[in-house]
Amino acid sequence: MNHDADEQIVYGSFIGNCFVLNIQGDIDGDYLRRLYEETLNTIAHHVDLKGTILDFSNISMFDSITFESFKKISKAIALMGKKVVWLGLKPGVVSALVDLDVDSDDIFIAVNLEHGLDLIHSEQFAS
Amino acid sequence: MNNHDIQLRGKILDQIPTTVIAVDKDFKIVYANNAAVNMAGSKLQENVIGKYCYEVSNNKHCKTSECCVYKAMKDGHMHSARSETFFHDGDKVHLEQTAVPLKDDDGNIIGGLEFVLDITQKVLAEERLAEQSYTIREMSTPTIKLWEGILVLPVVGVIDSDRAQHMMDSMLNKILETSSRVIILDIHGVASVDTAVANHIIKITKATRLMGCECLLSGISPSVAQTIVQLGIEMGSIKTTSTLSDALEEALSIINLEVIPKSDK
Repeated sequence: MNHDADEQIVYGSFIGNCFVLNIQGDIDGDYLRRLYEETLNTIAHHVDLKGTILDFSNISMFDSITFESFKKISKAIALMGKKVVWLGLKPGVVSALVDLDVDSDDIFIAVNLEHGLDLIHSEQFAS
Repeated sequence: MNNHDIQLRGKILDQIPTTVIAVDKDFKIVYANNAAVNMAGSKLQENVIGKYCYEVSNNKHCKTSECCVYKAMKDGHMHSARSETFFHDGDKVHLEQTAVPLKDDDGNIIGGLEFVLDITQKVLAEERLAEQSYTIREMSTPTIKLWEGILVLPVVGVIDSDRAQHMMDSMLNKILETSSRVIILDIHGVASVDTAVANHIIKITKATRLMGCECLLSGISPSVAQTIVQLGIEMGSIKTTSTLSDALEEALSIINLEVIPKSDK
């Protein structure tokens, strides 16, 4: 997987044993599908990964369909045995999601990157 | 109707301190009382009668579909609008124009009737009230950083939906600013908690959680506890305590801190 290729739209980096995925740009069906595939392939390729962090700091709009799509992606990652942590949801986005009454009970959410990395590594010991 | 009555009616209209004008369907003024004539800056009725009403008063609705005389003549109902204008001596005035259709004896609309009220005092009072509400709200919901990673928001008084929204905005912004992992919402000062208030609180805890910060609810008094159970409100997974200090203990444990007495040397 070449992270420098022009058609690459999955912006991610590796911090320790963690894959940090930076979500940005126009989130349409195409983007989500490609994100889904490329993320799962990245995880399959790097066997010593402990978890994935989905960083939403660059997103200013979120509807309930997008939310459910990311939940699906998270479920798939979890099925591959990796921890998933979300972070970076902005106050405006959060307000909107709460009004839409989304169900976020099954998602682990961190307040910043440090917290996210802590969660991934601490859960590793919990199981 | 005899002459005396007609004259009396004329006198009454002329002594009403509000502007009353009547226009025909082309917006030409067919009647204007003394107040209207004065408002137009004239002393004589002749200067006003026959002119187009938008020549005499020019507010922002004139000649647009927002003009309430136009609306009244069109659909036969009463219409009001607010506007601002400047008196000929330069002072800003807030006005409320109300128009009704002018009908002949057979009920056909032959023009419009408009009266104008000076609501400057009312508007100033409304602005002052809004300012005071804003001040009260700003005063009453400061989110405080209690410790590195722990925020606390003490709430006093009544929580309505406006206030709940404001509380949530203030909390979420503070969480973003401080990257706190725990926020304690203390409702000890909230006299009564009904289903609406409880739902506001539950919504707030959901929101903080979506930002990665856990919300602890403290200050649950015996009566509030009973009310919540009685109303069958499900608090779900929200951690609740009766005192702020219990919540603080829980918060410290969430961020992996422990308080140990200094050993005597």
